Amino acid sequence: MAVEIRIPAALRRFTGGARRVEVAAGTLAEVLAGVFGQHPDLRGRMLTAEGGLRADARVFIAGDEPEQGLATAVGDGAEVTILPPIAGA
Amino acid sequence: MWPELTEHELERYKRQIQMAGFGEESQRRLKGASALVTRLGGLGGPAALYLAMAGIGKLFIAHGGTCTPSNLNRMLLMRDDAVGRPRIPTLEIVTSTDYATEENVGEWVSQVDLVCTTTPDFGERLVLNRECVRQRKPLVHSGMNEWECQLTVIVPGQTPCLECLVPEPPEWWDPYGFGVIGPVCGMLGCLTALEAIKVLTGCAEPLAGTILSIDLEEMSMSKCRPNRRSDCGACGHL
Repeated sequence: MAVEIRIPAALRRFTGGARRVEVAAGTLAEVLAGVFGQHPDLRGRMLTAEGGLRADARVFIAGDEPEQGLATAVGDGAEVTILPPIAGA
Repeated sequence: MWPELTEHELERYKRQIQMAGFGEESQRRLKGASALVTRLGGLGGPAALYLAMAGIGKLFIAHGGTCTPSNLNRMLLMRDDAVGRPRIPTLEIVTSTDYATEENVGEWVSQVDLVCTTTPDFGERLVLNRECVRQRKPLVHSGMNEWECQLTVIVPGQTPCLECLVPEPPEWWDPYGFGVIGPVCGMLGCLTALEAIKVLTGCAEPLAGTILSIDLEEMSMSKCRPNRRSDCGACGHL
């Protein structure tokens, strides 16, 4: 099994319209590296120049923020949610 | 104490008063409560309308600028004979044709018990958030994009504030470029009003500290629990 990540509409312009990305399990850093490997334009929307998560790039594992940040383990089939801020009205 | 209900109000609201966990006390609390809804667009319009219809005592609604044709696919209050007219005789409505700014939010927020921020501009939302934190007023934050919605309740000092979640307006967000269709805004506006009613009446469990994320294209929803930021410039000191 792998990890399937849904790409929110607000970020699909950076994935060429792709709605889902499937990557291998690992640490959150490895999972995201897998996503950026397929969609490089997404990296700048998720990570800082230093490689940390941007303050407005919220990633949740099973509904909670990863306790160990990018070092948090993401197992096979884990529910990973990317939640960019949106303010449409 | 909360204001008494008239015979007319008891009849008007009897179908929600009969709801388990709501009751006459919640209706009285709502009658004595007030809310600020910033911008009456596709999201704020239904939120304001449903707060009024549910029996809130005072509604402060603010929206700058003028209506444009591209607003009309979703802005149900954008008619000359609709904006600003009370739908129930006991409702007090305060209006402003200004946008929320650092100069006016202090006075606006001081007049109400709760704020619903329904503007597409993150800068405006962050200004309102800072003022709500300063005055310790709850804030219902809701936003949509295309088929997707997010909704949360911010209780200063208890939950992450908006600045914990979005320290500054994302450079990629275009406040006037998002895709939008009326029913998505309408549904989220209703949920915004419902969360405000929960907070104002004390009945049911609001989404305090939880982001409800809804995808109406796939008809799915999930909840996420963000953490507060100890270094947050708005609420880190609380």
